[in-house]
Amino acid sequence: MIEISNLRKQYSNDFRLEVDELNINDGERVAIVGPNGSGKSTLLRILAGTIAPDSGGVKINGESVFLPQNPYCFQGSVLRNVRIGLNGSAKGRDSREAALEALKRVELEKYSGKKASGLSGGEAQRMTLARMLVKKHECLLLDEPLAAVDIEFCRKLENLLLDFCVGNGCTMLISTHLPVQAVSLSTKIIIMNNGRIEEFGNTLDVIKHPNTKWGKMFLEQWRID
Amino acid sequence: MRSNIIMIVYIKQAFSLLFGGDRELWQIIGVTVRMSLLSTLISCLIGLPLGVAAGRANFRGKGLFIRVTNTLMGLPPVVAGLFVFMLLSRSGPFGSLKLLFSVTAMVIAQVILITPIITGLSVSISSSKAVRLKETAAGLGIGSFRQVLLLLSECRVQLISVALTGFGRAVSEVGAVQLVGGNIQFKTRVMTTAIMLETSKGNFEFAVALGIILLLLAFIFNSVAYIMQEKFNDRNQ
Repeated sequence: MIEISNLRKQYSNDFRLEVDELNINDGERVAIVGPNGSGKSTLLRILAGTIAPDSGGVKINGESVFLPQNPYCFQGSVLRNVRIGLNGSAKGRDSREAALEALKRVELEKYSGKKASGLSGGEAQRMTLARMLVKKHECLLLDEPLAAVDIEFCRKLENLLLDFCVGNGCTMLISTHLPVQAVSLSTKIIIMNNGRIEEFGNTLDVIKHPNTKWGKMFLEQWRID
Repeated sequence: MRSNIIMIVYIKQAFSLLFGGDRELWQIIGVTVRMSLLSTLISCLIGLPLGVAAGRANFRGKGLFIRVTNTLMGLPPVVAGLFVFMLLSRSGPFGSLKLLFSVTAMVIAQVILITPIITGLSVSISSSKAVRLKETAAGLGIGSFRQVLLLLSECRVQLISVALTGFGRAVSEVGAVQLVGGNIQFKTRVMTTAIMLETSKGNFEFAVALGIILLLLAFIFNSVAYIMQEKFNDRNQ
């Protein structure tokens, strides 16, 4: 369960995040959409605890993991990078096997011994996804995790994320600019604009019947039937 | 032409000094290496984690911390030497330890001089990587202490250069070690203080030969560090 109440964060003179109330139940998958600079990343960062809000409360039940928009690739091999995601929960051979298994899921097992710095942008993103999925978490916070991945792998990784969430019963918040991704991955959707939540509800309900003028305008750009 | 000949004579003298079984010279080299390595090691143990932790963290007074560190990077050696001298002199607070005019006193003065350099450079090196690393690591649930260890590991190639800078300062320092070491023969005499002494005696050949040996020493340590950096670079790329 994720609970947000009276959240405020002033980022610059012309941007302020304001979320009065938001509750997300366990096991729900929520897509966060909106134009650039609407506050999607800021909201996810606050939920992840990497930035502190000016005021208001955030509560997440269980262990969460956050994948930022530009995740850091650690020096050394791809395998080492994925093992770092275990955060000491497995050691030695167990750690190696878990990391190789995670790499297999994103089809990067043949690169396990390769230097992470030698990966392409899309491959690096798949590696960081493997690093996140190497361990079970109750809540996934993903900031445009598939932005650099090609269409073919995008579909595969969306299915992987779905399976991971359904299989482990975990909650997921994912920000994206891709309408198809938002619809296929989420049970609920948040549409953000200028630091505020314009729309929040079941994905198909919101898409078919947006409540606000701005939400309607935004969704018209998507052209989803 | 004449200056070339003089240089060759000096280099010849340097090597004949090195391999001529001069006991005092080897003792001076020994004290220099021991003092420089020990003070660099202690400064690295303090300065590297401190600098990397400060580079990673956002805390109140970080700007002040950086300004003070940067100011201390330019601390005049004689001032540091004077400070340690006053602390260790018989009437000073640590006079009873009887450390004045010992290699330990010289190491203390060097640590005071080198630690701010190592800390300041570590802050600026780690800051460039810290933001993204911190966000990624915190997102994976990695705690602050392990984040600092990861950042140290990520910056290790550049931090070797930082340690080398510290060693360079230690090995070439003269003012502070002269003050607190006293340049005592067979005890606290190091290369730089020996060069000063020989120059004041008008023994230029010997002084230049010592200088050449000092440079040779620095070259050896730099080469070892260079090989280490290359090895780390190969591993990373």
